[in-house]
Amino acid sequence: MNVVRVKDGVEFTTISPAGFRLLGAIDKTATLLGLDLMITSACDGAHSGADDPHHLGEAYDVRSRDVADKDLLLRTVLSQLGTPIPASGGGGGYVTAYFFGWLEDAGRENEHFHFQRRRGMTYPPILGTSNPEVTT
Amino acid sequence: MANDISARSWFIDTAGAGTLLGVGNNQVFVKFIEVLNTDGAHATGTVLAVITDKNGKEIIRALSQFAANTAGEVQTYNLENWFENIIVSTLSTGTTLRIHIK
Repeated sequence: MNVVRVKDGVEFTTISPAGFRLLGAIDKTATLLGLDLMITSACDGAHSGADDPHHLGEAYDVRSRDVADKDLLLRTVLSQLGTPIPASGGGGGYVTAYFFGWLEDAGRENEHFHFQRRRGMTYPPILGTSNPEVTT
Repeated sequence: MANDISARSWFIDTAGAGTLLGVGNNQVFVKFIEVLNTDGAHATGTVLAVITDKNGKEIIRALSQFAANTAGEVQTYNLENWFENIIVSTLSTGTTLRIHIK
């Protein structure tokens, strides 16, 4: 049975609705791929300031060094959150209508998966606004 | 390339009328199937892939979710069930499958 674990010191001081969706997707991916996954950052850490999605409970880092097929893991997590397409901008990764994930610092010591609510999107979506699924 | 079911996961890039597994190996447990389109050339609603069992019962009919000229798309179907063999009867240009079996 494969599970998700949390690295010592990681803090979940708040979890937004998007955060719960992300955690569910990470857990489902562990089951589907037959891997134990380790969350290495949630609300803790400096990141990029008070408005960083980590501090809002809507971004998580996952250890990548033990994962053989890193693109498969990215696809699988994002696929639990919509229909992924390759992210624009040259950094790699995938986006769905409301979520984003990529391999941060690929090939370096600090390499890890990063998943978050997609920048500029509100989650859950506000009814009556345009549907970004169509305009992605 | 060509279809490769020699290892997990199965890689499929060629459609055909035959079953992926030979006769006598009919039962397969599929965890999930990825439909990967990389050319993004298809209009919304275009059939990317059709997958059935050996009896022709449809398992997946994947339709493009995006307008043409996007960067492609990934559709994942969590099946987690046994199937009576598999036939990939349709694959659009630029679409491949990764079939993740137990």
